[in-house]
Amino acid sequence: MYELFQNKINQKKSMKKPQADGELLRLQRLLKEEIKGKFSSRLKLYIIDTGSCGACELELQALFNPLYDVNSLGIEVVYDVREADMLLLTGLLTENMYPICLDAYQYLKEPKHVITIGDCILFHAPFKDTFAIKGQANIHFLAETHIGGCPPDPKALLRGMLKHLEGLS
Amino acid sequence: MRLIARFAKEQEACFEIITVYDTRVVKERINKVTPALLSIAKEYPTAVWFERKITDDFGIEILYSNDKRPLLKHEHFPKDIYPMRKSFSKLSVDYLEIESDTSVDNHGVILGPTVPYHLESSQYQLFNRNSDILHFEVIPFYKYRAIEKMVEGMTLDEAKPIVSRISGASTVAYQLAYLEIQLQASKKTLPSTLKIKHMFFLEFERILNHLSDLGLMCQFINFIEGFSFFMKLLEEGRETMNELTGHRFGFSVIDMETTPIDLRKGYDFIRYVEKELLWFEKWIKTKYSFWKKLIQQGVISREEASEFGLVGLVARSVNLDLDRRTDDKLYREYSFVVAQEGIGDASARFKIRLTEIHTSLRMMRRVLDNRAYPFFLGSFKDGEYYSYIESAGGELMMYLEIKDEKIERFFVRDPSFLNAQALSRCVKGNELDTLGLIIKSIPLSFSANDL
Repeated sequence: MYELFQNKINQKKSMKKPQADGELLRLQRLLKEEIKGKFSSRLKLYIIDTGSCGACELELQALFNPLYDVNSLGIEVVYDVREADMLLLTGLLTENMYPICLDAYQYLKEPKHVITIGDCILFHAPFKDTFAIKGQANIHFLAETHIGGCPPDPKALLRGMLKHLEGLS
Repeated sequence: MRLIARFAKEQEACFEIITVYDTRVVKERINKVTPALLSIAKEYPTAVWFERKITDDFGIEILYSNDKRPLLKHEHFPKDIYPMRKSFSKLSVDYLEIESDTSVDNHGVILGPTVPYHLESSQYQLFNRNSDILHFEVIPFYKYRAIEKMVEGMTLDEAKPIVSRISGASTVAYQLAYLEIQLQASKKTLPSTLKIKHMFFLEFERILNHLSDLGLMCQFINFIEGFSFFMKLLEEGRETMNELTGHRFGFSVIDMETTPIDLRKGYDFIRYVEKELLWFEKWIKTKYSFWKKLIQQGVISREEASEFGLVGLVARSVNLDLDRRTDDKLYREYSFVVAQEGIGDASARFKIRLTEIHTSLRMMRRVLDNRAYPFFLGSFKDGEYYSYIESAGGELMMYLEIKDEKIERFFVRDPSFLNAQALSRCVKGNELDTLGLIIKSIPLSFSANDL
């Protein structure tokens, strides 16, 4: 019985939410306000990996961990672009992913919010052009915001998203 | 013999096919006029993807193969262009117009390329009856960036930042495989202090990958506390990696000009993960509802694993003693023991990851030594070089041919290239709602697979 009790205490201790610093708390608060005011408290993201090394996706995934906890801000990921409010693109835009991105862009509801993520997508990373790469994503899609970095860390992603939302009327 | 890789390269008068087995390397020359190659897929089922890629890359016909579908050239790619031939040097091709994708047709259901099962773009073809999976297949190369072609003609130093960004999750393993080739080509031996430091970060990367996979496996069985637990540890790990290397993934951590590892931060991380993990293991030990969801899901037998030549923890989950680290003198000195399980299901792959984290932590604890001194590689000699690294996903093989100090042919075989082909066997007969768990229980990296 004692062990069970101790186990419960330990469980709570270990499941304790990690401590967010001042900047993170500020970002979370502002994002929550923006999402509440402009997207009725639910911002649905559709993420397309257009040819990345996977690092940008892992940093986007980190946003949903207990520290950044963007779920509690009203952010969620959807797997049908027609449900999405915002399209996020990561990685070098490959020729094989281009038609898929084009379809997704067409089905994205108006007004189309597109954010490009990472250095690769604008060719700022050390990759060279090949026949398999379509080119810079911002030439083919109207992306209002770009979040740079290789990859951008979760705080940079939050800052970029906040900047985008603040710019909306 | 175990098949490791099969690929082609072009020479002046012929094509050369290089088949790498665990015990030897076989080279065959075929003419350029009517290039054709005998398939070895009957003996080695995973040769199919290698051979389909050879056809797409060079236009070499594969004889007696029962699967001649294109692999990396998707339907909009012009059929008469073979991009890895030396005569092809264009930066663009006229891609064909293709009708919009139909998601359901007579050929099964196409899932993806954006799917909840995997963060990276990848398509799956699924055949099911009611809730049972009849057949399942991976359709790769959506992220095909032609990196093999991209680095041809570059110096080894120019190509290094590209190779380190092939796969973000396995960047340390890729950097180490590349360094191994640089060492062979410069006829140098790495000082032990540097080797020890590199081993520390390779094991660190393994821990981060395992934590991420364990978290996502928990998420797919709706064990949200487990997901939060592993994601919290992963975040601590990424932050520690950032503090130790200046980057959350360690993109340029494998260098020659060594700086000592921060002992305090290293020890703190090891102690923290050890303590948390022990608590977690104690907690889930008797959590039968948790194990029930993993046991007998996505089973692969020892025979199937051998037949497919599977690598990494998928092979080790059926008691196959397959780990490149056992060949490494340094690992042997540090009393490295391979983690193995016998059942070959998702629970075995879950347990192996937990054991491997403990093993990696033990190795890291022993290598924390802040003594270091500078080392220089010098010039690289022309020739062919092979390297093998045990990445978090399994055995990673890299090949480089250097001519006039520049890259003539670059080839890399990620563990995903073999393991992804076994997914069809793993999921066959399972229920549809276990698909996510099974896919996540097998370490796959499409950025490294699609290259």
